[in-house]
Amino acid sequence: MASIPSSPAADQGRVRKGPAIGAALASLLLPGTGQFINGQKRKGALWLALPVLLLVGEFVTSNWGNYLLLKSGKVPPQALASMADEVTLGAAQSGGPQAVDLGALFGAMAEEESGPAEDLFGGDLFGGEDSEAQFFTPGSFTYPDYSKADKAYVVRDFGGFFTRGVWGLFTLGRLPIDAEYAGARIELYDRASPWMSADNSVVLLGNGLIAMAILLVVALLWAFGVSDAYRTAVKKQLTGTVEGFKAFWLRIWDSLYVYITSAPAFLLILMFTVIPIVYQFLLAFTNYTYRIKLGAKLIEWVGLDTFRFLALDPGWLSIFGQIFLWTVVWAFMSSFTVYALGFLNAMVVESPLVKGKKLWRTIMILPWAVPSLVSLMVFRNAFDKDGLVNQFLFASGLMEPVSNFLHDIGLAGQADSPIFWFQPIYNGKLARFVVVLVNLWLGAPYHMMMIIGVLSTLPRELYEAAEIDGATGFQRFRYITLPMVLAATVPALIMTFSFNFNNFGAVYFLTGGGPSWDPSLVPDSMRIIGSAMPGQTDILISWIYKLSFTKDFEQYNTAAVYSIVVFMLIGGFAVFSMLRSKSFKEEAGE
Amino acid sequence: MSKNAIGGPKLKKTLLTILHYGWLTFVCAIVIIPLAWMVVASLTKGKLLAGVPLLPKFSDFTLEHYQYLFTYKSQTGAVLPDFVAAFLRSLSVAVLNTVVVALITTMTGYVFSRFRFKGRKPILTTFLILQVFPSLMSMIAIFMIFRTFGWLNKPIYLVFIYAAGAIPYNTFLIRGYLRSIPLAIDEAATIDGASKSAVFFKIILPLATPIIGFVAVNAFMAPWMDYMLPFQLLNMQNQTVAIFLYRLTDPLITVYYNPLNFMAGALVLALPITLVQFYMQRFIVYGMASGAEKG
Repeated sequence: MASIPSSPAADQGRVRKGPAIGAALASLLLPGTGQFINGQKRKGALWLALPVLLLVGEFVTSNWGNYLLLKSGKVPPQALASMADEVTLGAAQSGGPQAVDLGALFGAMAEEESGPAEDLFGGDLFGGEDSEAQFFTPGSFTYPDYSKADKAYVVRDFGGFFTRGVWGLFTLGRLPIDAEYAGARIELYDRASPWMSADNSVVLLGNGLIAMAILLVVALLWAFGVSDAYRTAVKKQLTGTVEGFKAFWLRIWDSLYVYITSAPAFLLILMFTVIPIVYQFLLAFTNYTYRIKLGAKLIEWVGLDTFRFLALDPGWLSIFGQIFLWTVVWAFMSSFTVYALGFLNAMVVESPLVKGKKLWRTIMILPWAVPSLVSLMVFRNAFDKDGLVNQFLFASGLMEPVSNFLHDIGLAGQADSPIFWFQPIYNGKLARFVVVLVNLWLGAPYHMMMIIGVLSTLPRELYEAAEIDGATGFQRFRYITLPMVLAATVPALIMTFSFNFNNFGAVYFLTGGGPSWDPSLVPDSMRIIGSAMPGQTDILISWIYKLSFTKDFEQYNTAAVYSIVVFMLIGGFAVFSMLRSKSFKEEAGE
Repeated sequence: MSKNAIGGPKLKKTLLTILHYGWLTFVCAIVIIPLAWMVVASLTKGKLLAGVPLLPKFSDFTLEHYQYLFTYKSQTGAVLPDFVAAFLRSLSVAVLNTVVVALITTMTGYVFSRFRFKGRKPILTTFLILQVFPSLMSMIAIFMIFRTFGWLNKPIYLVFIYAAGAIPYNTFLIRGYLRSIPLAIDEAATIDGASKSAVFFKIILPLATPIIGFVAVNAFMAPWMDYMLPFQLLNMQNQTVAIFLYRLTDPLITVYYNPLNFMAGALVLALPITLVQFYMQRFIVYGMASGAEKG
């Protein structure tokens, strides 16, 4: 690569683009061919493997073989029907990557293999491959004649993972249960010939997305091959030689080191974060609610209908507005209080007046060390009718004064005794207050530790100088400690805010969203969602959860729309604050 | 605390000291009381919260709730009691998650702190945006993925989701930390003939131990507290310990409902985790401070 000037092309000072473009085009049509033209056999083979693997994957998971036999007329449609069984069943088995079954370990531990998990999708509709239902009798139907209107079903009936995936993504299925097809009734699930099973839109959507993601990766590698073919061809003219396979591999390793090293992270994120998010977002453009029992009905793309409805319906809009407002108030209040108390505690513990710092600190960070789920549930019990708080109030004789006080300042709607902290409709404000309070117990220690950490990094000299200048303790705090700690912890504060904005656990495990919304204030247009109605302490994320998972009232599309809203808001907030942050600016300036 | 306080500076100092200790005592009381109540409740007979005394009577204490945890089997012939099996499941998820997250984020953080490459900034921004989207919101899709791969009811596969969720933030954290290690060290090693991998394993890794420790502790903690994913993806025979505990506090599940059993279980669960936290405290304080500054 180093000796450029000796080549004839370089002497002329110009490169003929023709062959390079030719190689690139060849690679575009079929990966690897450009490399072969350039005389790099092993490299070409590497790229050629790409479409080969793709085709093999498609073919193995498909029934195209049967389709070709059928088309060629060598086999009558009827005979194929029973042949299809074995092929398709085999394909179904080899469908997914077969990971080492670590899960078996756990199955053994729990002694018995069990049925499907909590069924997200209404009963046993799609119990899966194990369901014993519906064996078909061979010969009761035949493949349709794919020449006319049935053409649209070719991919559905025979397609492999990729073609069928893309087909499913666009159509979300065509045949629900009980539909007439190929002279038979479509079954819910047909073990013997899955192509006679009803389409499950949700599965099709998911498979489609995964297929698209794989295709995207393949397309990227493909494009890389095209550019490689072009550049090699140019270089070949300049130097008269092509780089060997080993040299190529070393170079790739060198320049791609970063990508290869972070590939596991990217893959995991793509698979378990990006695809699910995209999936969730796509649901917002469908009509998927509890009314659609999968299999019995198909989901359809409805465009922006759900968005339009939620934006225009005054009832939904007003409830969303109120929940949103409370979410913001909650995020702000909870972040501010934990930070302030954490700061105060840090200052007190680290004060030179206090002895036995280590012991105090150890006790004070206990709440952080206890798993939050546990503490939240303990507090749920503590604020129970018979819980610690009421017992304490009774025992100390403070029940009546406290109850009256809470009523007087307007937190509690009635001066009950005992106090029902989370249940009655009139105690919404009280419940909200308690949620913030409990969050304070949980969150303050973290901030205390963080601020103690920051305090230890503050320069001693500043304090010494201030002391010489005669600054009082308060002044030192006001003009040195506070600004410096604040400056150091702004990013953490922003993080806390966005964490609390989506702090599902603090609400769900403590109050479950309760008390419920005043029935007289529920807009008529929202009555259809029944128990998926938010409670008074529900924040956006816990409401989204309710909308998705309240049995028999699932509003998948509405939940998806709101997730998009939350995503935009909080993602925008995160990007905005990062763009302003010091470390990012430094980097931009580099 | 006013400047015109009566008495000399000494009195003021005494007052301030009392104020400090008073506050500390108050805070510690607030911290300890619920935990102490938990302990007392776990030792009280029966299944009613109302039966838990404010002032414990030691003669009435019982170990029946602990006995329940370590003997109760919902299915005859089970090898392990429900609670122990659930605990072990959570433990293995947590351990595996720790390994996966620490390994992957260290590599990614290293790459993002040391190399300039195409798409670096867009990827970082994407990470930042993704980290704010809780996996809870895309549960339906996750369920589909698990179903497709046949991972339903297999707790160990939850690691994929936890790890994917933890990578973005921790990458930021490690990247921020590694940026504070001077590049000159790498360069010197490279001149001496060390490969990239050698630089990573021999130089970066040892220097980054504190922050990796922090990431590891966080990764270890996360699975214990997660409820939603196991609830949707696992059946009752393969529950994790969080679900086991939650069931004990749900009045709607009358067979299991017993808040006092819950208190005992919560203590048994919290104890080892709390110990781990304390043991790793050095890393945690360190990581928090650096996380706070680097964002």
